[in-house]
Amino acid sequence: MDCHRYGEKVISFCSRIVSECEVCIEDRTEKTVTIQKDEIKSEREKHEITMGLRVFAGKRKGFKAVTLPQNLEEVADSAVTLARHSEKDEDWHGLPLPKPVAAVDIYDQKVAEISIEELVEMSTLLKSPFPEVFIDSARVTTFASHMYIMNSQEVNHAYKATKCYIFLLCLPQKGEASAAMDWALSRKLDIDCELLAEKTARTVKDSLKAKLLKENFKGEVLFSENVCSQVFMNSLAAAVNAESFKRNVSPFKEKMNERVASGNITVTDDGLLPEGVCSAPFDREGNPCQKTLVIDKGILGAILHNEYTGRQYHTESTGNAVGSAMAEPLVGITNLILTPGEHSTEEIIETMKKGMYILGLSGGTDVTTGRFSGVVPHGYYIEKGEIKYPARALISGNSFSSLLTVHLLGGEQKPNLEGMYGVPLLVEGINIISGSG
Amino acid sequence: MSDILSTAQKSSASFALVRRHKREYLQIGIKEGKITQMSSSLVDGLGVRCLIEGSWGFACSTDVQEGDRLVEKAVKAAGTSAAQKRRKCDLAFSPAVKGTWESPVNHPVTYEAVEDIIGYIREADACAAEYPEIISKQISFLSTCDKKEIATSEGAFVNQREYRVFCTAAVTAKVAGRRATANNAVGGQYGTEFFRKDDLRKMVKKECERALRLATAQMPPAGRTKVVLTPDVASVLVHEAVGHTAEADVVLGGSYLSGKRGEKVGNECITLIDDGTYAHGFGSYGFDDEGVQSQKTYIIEKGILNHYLHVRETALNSPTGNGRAWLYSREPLIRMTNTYLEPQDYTFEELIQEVKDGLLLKGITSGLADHFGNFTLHVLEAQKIAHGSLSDVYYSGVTVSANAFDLLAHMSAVGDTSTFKVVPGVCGKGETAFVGMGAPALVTAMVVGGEV
Repeated sequence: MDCHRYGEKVISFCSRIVSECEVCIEDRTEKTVTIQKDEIKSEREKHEITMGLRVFAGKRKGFKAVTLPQNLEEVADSAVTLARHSEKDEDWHGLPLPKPVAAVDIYDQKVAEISIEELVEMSTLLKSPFPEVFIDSARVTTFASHMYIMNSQEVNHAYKATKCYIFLLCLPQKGEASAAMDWALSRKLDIDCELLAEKTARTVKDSLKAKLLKENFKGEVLFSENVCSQVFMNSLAAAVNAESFKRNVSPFKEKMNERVASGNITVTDDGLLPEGVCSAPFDREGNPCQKTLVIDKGILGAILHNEYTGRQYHTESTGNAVGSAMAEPLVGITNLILTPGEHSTEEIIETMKKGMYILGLSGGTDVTTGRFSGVVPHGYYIEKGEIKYPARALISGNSFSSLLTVHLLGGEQKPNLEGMYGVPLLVEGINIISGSG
Repeated sequence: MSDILSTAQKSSASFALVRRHKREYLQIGIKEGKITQMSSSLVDGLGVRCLIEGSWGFACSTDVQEGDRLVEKAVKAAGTSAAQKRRKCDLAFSPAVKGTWESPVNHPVTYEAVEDIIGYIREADACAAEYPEIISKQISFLSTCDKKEIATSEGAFVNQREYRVFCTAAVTAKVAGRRATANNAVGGQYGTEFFRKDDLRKMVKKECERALRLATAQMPPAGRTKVVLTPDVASVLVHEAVGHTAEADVVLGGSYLSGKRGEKVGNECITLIDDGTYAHGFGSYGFDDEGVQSQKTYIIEKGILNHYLHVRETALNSPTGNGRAWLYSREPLIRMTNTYLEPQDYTFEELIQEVKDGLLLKGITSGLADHFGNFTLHVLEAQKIAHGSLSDVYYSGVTVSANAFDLLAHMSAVGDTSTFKVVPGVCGKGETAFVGMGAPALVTAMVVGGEV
């Protein structure tokens, strides 16, 4: 179907019955090869067209999302009915007006046109090089999408994007090492499958020799780039969200232009990062994406806005309306990037007196308080600058207070699916607790 | 459906399954007393699964007129790697059922009920206004209606409607400059009659009180300690650390329960059930997404491992009706339905006395476990137990860890029916599934991650 034409018809139809409307359509093809127990399990091809329609009857809002094709009038009626049941939002000041948007490199023809046969071939490279470890499950997926945003204020934009995502979970053939999972993401077909499988399998292999720590202590912890995103970037993403400020739940609420992290911490939200996993020329409302300096050398400089919160705070949207076509646009991060340091992981370990290097954390972080705790299924005990042995432990601490005392940052950087670009991070004063039971 | 199946039957597929799945959501959200979400969505699509020489292929689309093209794609996908597959899929026999099923709901949620629902949410929201220290509150309501048609080349044809409601509340308190958030959820297979149960109002009140306590609570001391788990914590433990290890695909991956059928894996007081027929259970249904009738499966009976959970591909003889797909676009995976530990005979007070000195763990934020039963639970709140009584000392930011099978082997104090609860949940094993999780309160010992 012609999504652009369909979207314009929806806008034209709804403009006659409501004061404002916005349509987001995503036409997406997804190809997946699934691996189970070291062997290809199934191949899948999915084609989905989804549409989100946001309408405003004065200051009352309704939202209807559907898979297409559907009857246009029924969808519009349903959205309008919802708006009429809603209540007036006096803070609502309108949908965005058209603005110029920049192109960003997020599309690769080869990904868009990959065949299931080629994907199967790529998947066969996911092999554990160690006989004691196998690939329990893995998924190799490519996405090709075409996104359209239009509204009754004459915003009318479209872009194409591709993505390749590999997820895998390794287990030991025998023995009780915890499963290790890892992933890789790219806009192109340039993921090194063999390296990813080798790295994940090695984590399991090492943890087969893991020991329990001899004592509980407060010590240094080097968080890997994955765990850095899980603990620190996750807390930061919530804390710099204008919605959290408005709701009074951000611990940074009274700290604009004040120190919230140590001087070696700089964080940007960059929706225009070339090949970035969450980059796009425009956001979910059609506002141009941009690069926002959120924390500059430890000082909180900006928070992230969509059109609604931007107007409430008497500022412009930062291009941070996020969400799929099936969901209402909310405030969120694009690519939230912690600027890497210059040290290799090995160099950082050499500086450590006593602590742990952790590759995984099975636990949680309270993004309001910053408190985190969890089991370290894959980690190493470090003493006097050397890895002594693979170790299991529990750790606990506070991400916000730890950000104020970051000693060193590593040079390696990795994004997760949510667009958080973590780096290895060394902090001290973390509770390290022996044993997992 | 029959046209699509006949196209599949003319292909080289030895088995084909066609599934039309339509899901409608209605979401209403109130933040800080104002309606901020009034939305609805409809996901409608067709999935075709074909088996060729023991190899699966799957294709799906939101264009339900594309059935024949989907068969073609699924057949092609199945053939692509058929030659490379060492393990060929063989389906266990399942009667070709023709049947219909509908959730036991009195008044399914419709647009006409929206005003009433808003009224119920506002009543719950008003409870939070009684606490001046609550600085933020969010209450949301979600209802889903799943309409499924499933047909197989063996002649099965199933028509099913599942209705669910799910309400969440998150409140943030600020006390002496410190903020803390508490949250919880209630729900099940109900229509608007759910609100007569008054669960939402009670939950909001409880979470406000909890947020106030958490704002001033410290981290607990680290180390091994005896604990009483409330049912919301115990049920997540049962689901994550024990239930998953009985799913046949996880068993084939070498889980703790692998090769242990008929063996003792827990104390005699341990009986673990997966029940797809549990009345109003969040994970209940009449037929799974392979068209197999749901059932009550005794996974562990009086400490003995009795049964694994299966799809047709993993079952040697009788599948257990646990093949579930989240949407039209997903293939059925082995998933739990409503999994619960049967209650025994300890009252709550007896459980507290049994611990003497330790912690009562309440409220859950997340739980994770590996295939060997090693688990981590992130618990919202812990209350200190001293000299066999509950004290006024509370802790927050509590992570606990242990091995579930060690716990089951030594468990002797399991709560009675008055301490038993089945809670709604959303499980994320590769894809999402609505599940019920249940347990009585129980006593055990765990390592607590806290302040050194």
